[in-house]
Amino acid sequence: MSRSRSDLVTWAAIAVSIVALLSGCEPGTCVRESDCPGQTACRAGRCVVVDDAGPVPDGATADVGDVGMPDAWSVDAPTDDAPSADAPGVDAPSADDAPTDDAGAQDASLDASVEDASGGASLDGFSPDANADAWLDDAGVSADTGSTLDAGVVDAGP
Amino acid sequence: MERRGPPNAPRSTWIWATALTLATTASVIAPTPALADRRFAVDVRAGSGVSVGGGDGQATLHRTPVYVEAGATSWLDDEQNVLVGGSVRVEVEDRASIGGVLRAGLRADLGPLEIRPFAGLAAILMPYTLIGPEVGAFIVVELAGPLSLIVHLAIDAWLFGSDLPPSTVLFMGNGGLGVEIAL
Repeated sequence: MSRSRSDLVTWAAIAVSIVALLSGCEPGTCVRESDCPGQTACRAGRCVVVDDAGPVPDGATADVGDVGMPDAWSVDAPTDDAPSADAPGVDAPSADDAPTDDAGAQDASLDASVEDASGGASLDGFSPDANADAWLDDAGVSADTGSTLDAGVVDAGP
Repeated sequence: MERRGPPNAPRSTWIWATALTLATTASVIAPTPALADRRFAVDVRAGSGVSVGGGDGQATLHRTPVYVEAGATSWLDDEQNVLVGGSVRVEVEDRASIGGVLRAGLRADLGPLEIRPFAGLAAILMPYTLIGPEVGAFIVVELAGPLSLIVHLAIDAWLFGSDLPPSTVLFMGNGGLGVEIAL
């Protein structure tokens, strides 16, 4: 009698185990890459997010690119006889073209060249009223692109 | 002109000896019997099971995706205990993949049952890959005439493939059920 009961318990345990296995397993576990959805990969039995977005842009390029200055200085500025204070700061960021990495690199060069030409003053401190001549000079030089850009890169420092 | 062949042997003797050697070799490496002496059976099965893998010192259990297999088995009338076969395997649960298995095995007739232990090479080929050996057995129960019930029990050891996590081996214990038709 006890033996038959033991057998019954054994078979019941086996049945429960089989049902548990066949009904699935804990969500998020995996044994194959194809067990994991989307951009996740199977590592140590778990589906984990794989970051394949590529290298993160370096801070300098990203920050300068957000300013979006080159259009304002190299295109708009030379055509304006009396540049307003809004020209560099407002028009550029909201500009027509979203800044790209290339634009950002040019920004860095331009910013550096502007700073050098205005005696080291920062852009925030740059006042068109007080430095109108210098601003025009800068704008004119910037419109020439090539040489100024190169010089800006050199002057940009470390 | 320099004479070819063994010294002191007529040219015709050398030619006949070469032909006999080639014929003997061909008969050994290609013992193709008449098609009438070869028997076939086809089957369709569906199954699932348990996968064990994980890596990094951890064993993770996972249910094997449901698969469907369509296969064929062949044996010779005068060597009925030896068979070869293969099947196409399609995984149909949560994914869609296709692969196949090549098998060689034995037949053991046990009255109403026929047991066919086998070993083979299994592979999943698309859209990812898994390759490894498979061992197991078919249990065939004759139902009526050429129709039989077929049970497939197998263990796969997936050793290679793009679907394996890095530095891991995946084991599967699968069971399937289907029908076989003897041709």
